[in-house]
Amino acid sequence: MEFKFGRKTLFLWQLRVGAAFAALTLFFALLAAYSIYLYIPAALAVLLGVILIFCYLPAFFSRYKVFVGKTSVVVTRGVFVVKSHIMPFKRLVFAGGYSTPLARLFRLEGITLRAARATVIMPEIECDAARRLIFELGGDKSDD
Amino acid sequence: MSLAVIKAMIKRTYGAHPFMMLSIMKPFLFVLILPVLKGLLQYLISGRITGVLTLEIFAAAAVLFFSFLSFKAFSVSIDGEKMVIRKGFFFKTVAVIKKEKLSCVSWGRSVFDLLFGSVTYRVNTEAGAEGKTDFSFKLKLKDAKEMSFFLYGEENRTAVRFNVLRSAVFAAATSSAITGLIVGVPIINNLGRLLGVALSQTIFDEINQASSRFDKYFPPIVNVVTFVLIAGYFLSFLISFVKMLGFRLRIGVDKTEVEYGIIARYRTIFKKQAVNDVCIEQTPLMRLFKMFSMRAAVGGYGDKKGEKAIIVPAARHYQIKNQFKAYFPFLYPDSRPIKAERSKRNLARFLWQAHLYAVLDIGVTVALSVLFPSVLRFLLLAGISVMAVIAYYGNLCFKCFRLGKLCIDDKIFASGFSGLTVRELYCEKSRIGEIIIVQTPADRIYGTCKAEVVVRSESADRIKVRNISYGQTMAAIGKNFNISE
Repeated sequence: MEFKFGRKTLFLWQLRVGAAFAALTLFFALLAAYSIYLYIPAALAVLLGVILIFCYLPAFFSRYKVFVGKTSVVVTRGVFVVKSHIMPFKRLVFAGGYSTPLARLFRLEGITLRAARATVIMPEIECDAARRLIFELGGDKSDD
Repeated sequence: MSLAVIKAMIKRTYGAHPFMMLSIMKPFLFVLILPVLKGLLQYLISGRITGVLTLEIFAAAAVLFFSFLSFKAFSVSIDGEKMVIRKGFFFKTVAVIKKEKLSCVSWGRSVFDLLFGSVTYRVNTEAGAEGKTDFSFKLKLKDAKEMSFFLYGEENRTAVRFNVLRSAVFAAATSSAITGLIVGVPIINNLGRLLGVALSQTIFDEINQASSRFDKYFPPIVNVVTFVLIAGYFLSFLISFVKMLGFRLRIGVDKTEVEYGIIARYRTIFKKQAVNDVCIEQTPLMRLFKMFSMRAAVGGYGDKKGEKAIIVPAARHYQIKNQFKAYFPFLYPDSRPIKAERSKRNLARFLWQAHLYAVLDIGVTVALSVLFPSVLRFLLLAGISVMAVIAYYGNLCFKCFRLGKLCIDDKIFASGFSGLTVRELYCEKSRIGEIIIVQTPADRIYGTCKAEVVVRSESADRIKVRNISYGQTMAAIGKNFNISE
């Protein structure tokens, strides 16, 4: 069973990052009343925000994969440096979910996997898929 | 009736040794007890007491009284297949642990324990806080022996002894100046305060005087720091050496017993199934003697030792593997190891960090020498010292290029290095907590990856194997962990 991240997750994260960079840009733009040079960090924040929203995030989510095998779960992520976490079910202590008001608005839920001394936090996926995955990982399989 | 049946029927209760009162009072020792002792000492030397308040004496008496109550309330029982530990007078706690859930029991005897005929007994399970003993208490020697017999029995275990030289090699290889200083400085300070002598100042003057003899060759600050570090290292070595003397290993069918120490004697028994992984390691100093040490990561082990049990202090690599061949079958994996490709390009990929550090070291040393010519000698010495460490790191990278391996089947084997220590990790597949595969842009171009193996443990052991074939690694993982991409 393979889980991928849909457009809704991407849009949620684009909103979050967009809001954060908009706030940062506004902060520097307001401070620019004291020194005109503060327009430089404001412009840099706009540029970085645009790169993150339109280049990095789509690439990040298109490469993010969660694969649930017969005896282990594989989480692959990363744009420049790609990391694959292979966690055998036997060593998985529990799987949990988390959500924020904004994520709930989109009916999305994030997932946390906890093995002994290792934690993998995954971004939000559709609520139903998240429930299924949590049940799959935290339920029968971890008792195997 | 078999011994196992008799053991299952046995019900025994043991009380604590009176010396346990002192260990309960330990947190109050420096605040209450030592000022009272200091007052007594002063009275004996000068015939008068100053600085000891009546309140302190009363407080010390109250602490002693409550320690007595706690000592009386403590008991440990062996009830068939269960172990029951009761403690606390006002706040009572009872812990019931099945024998099979115990991962390790150990007992040690310090100098005071030897004097009072007591034993510090430690009981560990896989639960509980990391690096902390689950239950620690004092028992009479006779009771400790009897309880150990009921818990683990006295089967016919093969005893392996290690001579003084090997203990010394291990002590030298695992000692550090920082440990010596951490242990030594508070002792010197507290002893000086207790005796009313400026002991630390006297020692510092001595170091200053001795180091001034070398001022002609090295800068004064280097001499002082070197002397302090050497003193710290020597102290650490001495502690480690005395602790490791008389190291004896007994290997049973499903239990291992380790015994060491001359002045303070420690004995630890752990079950084979509690071993998460074993590591064969070689520190820089051990490389000189071409020896390795072997330690096991045991879930819930000993006292604040990070769940690491030393099994072999120092021996040749083949000796270790041969000796434990039958006991730890996972020391010999079945599949062919995945190795880094032997090519000039790959060698350069292993060594690029060492090259970069060397260039940075030269650059920083030259820049600082131009900026601060007055401390040129010190900067040159520091630069050369750092370069020596970088050269050793480069050598380790080269060794990793030649000998770095990863085996993934029912037995897991990974070899690489951590810090400046060469490490080989062996475990069963079921003990793996996580495998992390990292691919940098360069790895994607050359079809390689870095594989990090993390063992499930309270303090997880991990090791990274660099620049091995991505295809082979994923195929092995896919086959053994049922993953098909």
